Amino acid sequence: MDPTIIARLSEIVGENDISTSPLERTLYGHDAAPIPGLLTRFFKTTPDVIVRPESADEVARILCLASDSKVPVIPRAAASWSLGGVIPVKGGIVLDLIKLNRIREVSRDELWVEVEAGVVWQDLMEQLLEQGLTVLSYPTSAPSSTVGGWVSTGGYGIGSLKYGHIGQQIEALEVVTPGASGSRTDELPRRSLFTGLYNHDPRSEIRSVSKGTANPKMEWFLGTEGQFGVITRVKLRIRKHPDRTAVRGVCATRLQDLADLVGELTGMREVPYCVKVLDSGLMALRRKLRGVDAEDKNLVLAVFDGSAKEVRAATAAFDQIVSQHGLEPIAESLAEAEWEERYYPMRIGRLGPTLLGGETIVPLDQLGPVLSEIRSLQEKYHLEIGTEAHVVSKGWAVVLALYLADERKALRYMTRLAVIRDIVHIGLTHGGKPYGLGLWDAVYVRRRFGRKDLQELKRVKKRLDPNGIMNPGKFFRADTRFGIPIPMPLYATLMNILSLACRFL
Amino acid sequence: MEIPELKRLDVEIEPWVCTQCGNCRTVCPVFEQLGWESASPRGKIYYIKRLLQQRPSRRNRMDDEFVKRIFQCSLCVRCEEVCQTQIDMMRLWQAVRADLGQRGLWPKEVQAIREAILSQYNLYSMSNSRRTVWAMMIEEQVLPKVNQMADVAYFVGCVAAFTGRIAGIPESTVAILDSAQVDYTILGPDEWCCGNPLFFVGAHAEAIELARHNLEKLRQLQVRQLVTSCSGCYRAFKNEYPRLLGEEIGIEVLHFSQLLSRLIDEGRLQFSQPREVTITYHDPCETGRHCGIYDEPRYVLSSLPGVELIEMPENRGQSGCCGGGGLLKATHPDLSLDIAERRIHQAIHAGASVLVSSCVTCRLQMSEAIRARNLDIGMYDISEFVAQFL
Repeated sequence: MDPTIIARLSEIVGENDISTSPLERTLYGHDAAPIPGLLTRFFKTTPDVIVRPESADEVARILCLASDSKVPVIPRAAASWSLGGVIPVKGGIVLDLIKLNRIREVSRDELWVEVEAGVVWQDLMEQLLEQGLTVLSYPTSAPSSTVGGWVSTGGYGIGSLKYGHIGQQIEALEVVTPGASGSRTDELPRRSLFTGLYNHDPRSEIRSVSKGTANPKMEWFLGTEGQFGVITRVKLRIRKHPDRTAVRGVCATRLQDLADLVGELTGMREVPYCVKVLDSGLMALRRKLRGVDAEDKNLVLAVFDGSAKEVRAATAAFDQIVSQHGLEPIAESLAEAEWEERYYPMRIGRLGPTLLGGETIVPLDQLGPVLSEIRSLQEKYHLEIGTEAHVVSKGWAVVLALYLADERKALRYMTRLAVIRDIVHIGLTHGGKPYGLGLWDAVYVRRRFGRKDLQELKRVKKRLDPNGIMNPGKFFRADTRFGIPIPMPLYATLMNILSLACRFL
Repeated sequence: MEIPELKRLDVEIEPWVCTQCGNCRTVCPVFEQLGWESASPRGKIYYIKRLLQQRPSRRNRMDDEFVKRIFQCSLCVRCEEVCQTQIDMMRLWQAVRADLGQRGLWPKEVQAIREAILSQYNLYSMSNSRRTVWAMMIEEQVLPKVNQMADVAYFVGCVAAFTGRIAGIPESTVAILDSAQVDYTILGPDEWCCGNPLFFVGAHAEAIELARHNLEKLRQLQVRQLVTSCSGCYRAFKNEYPRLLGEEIGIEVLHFSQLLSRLIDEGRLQFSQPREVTITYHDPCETGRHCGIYDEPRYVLSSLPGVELIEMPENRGQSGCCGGGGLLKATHPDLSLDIAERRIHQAIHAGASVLVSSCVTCRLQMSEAIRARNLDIGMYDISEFVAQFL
């Protein structure tokens, strides 16, 4: 990278908030996924420089400079995702948002909070709790992930069943966009504050985007993984901390029994705060980790919160539904222990030593078959796999399947990557979608959005990021460092070969 | 590249099980101050994995910045508490530090501490014959106790013995022991450094001589119970010695807060000086997360007449660090003070007018930060605070 760009970046953020050290550049060139070196060689994953802006104004000045210089900018928060969304593909500037970590304002009366994008969910929840408040929903990665990160990626998690997608909780969003080609660096690019509630529908995330729309819309920045700009501030609806929380668990041998139960739970008058399914594979791995020998059944966990009266009514209704289904409730203490583990889905990684996984969002009525088919991968590939599904709305569930691998055994490990493709495909076959795209699942962009919506998104990209500096080489397509995108047929062929090898290695 | 120390400390698998989830980043006191990925536990682990993946070559070398980062750690192991895969962080950091030592890459401060311990048997390179310098004002009370046969030995530790600013800790400790009519001995010049600073850098082999010497002296005096107000010494005797020597040491090891709790239960301590004060307790990393002592100090402090004990939001296993451990104070003093300042602000914010801990290093470190950063709160070790009520 041109040293003058580095010097100008240093002027913007100050010398303490810029790094070009080999160590730092190595560490900012990856995310949570352990990708084999052979694959990363096709991309220039090492950034040229890392900067840590402290304000939206600094972000704006950086984007302006990058846009003029046509240098890639990769926004990064906690980097706890594993789809490569924060990995540079062609080097460039990593924009670490860690310093945008202030909770700006809390309104107890109107029940909202305004935070900077780099605020960690757990920190936010702890701060709100001091005032008897809490968030509506949060990701399972809440101990590390940030508000801006979740808005930019999946947006479904714990509490989504009751309160909807993160988009439905946002009252306002501050976004910095890179500005038009040829803009002068002393002119700040557009910084927009969006207001209004966003109605999320997983079947058409970008339905309201249309050609020729005069102004940017908030939904363009939800789940679009930093393609159009950098989210710098979020105003979220919050709630009073519930008086009571009750956790109930039910287990069953047949997955379909639990899937049927789950369907009924979403129709309850008192909507559960959270409903999740842990399949017998995951339970088996957890028991193996604890060294306990017991029969492994599938488990459904339902969480109810609210006033004491509401929770009493909800748990009574739940018990009745469970009884009608002839299922077996587990002890409340066990259910509560499972709930306490909600932030630790990757605990089983210790058995790997490497943990790989695939994530997909599927129609709720297909949850039973999806979980069964994922379960069958265990035999197909002779691996240990466990699945957790979060019911996120009356019609959809996010499925996360995790399996053990060992990256120290390079060849065998490489073949194991094919299983991720299988997991996503099982979801797609049943009317689902990939939960995110990033770099590694960018080949599914059309499956996720459909042709028409994809065209709209491309138009938005051209308009808001005419020089293509925002997180380039992913989301829309997986670009190699040589400028050649990975086409779907090549990806499919490679995965088929790896899949075949995985069965026999 | 090979890092043989990982095998020696049985943590070969640990770098590989890290899921890079980043939970450790949120709680790491050093990362909170520095904010760079290389300062986070997960960043360090990722780099260790990268080193292990390198083919052996003469061109392989440790990155200087990585070496610096490895010692920018107070070994508080809050990272371990939140780790998805429960990585044994303490052993991992010890192993990597030990490997750096073998490559001659320890910071000069660490090298100096090692040399002081091995040549003078104390941290400060002082003559070990001056081990009772802290008792200058109470020699008549203390010197007769040196090297006497007794059931209980009070192991003073290098920090309390040689640091005049906190001489109040051993003074208060012996005052309490005398008040409760405990028959005790101290080793005086025969007390050698427990070796904890060497354990912090994985130099276990070099600590063996210290461990053997201390245990031999204690056994000669037929000591059955060892008491210390130093959380580092407690940790060394309790955790490291049995592991190092491959056998139980045959002496009950108590932190002074635990002994206080017993003395109160047995009615051997009478508190005649009530004092209306709101205090909070800071859990030292080495007695808390490393050894699981949380209840006894709280029980002791709650037993004092007039004292209201309140909690900081970060307490027990989630307690913040004072920044003084893991040799961070020696290698990066400013960073260490920044961490202490953060923790003191938590105590002030909680509404306490006095901060109490049960670790000589925490006491020293936080008092220094209070003075240097002009903060308004009192700071005592549990021994000093309890002695005020006798």
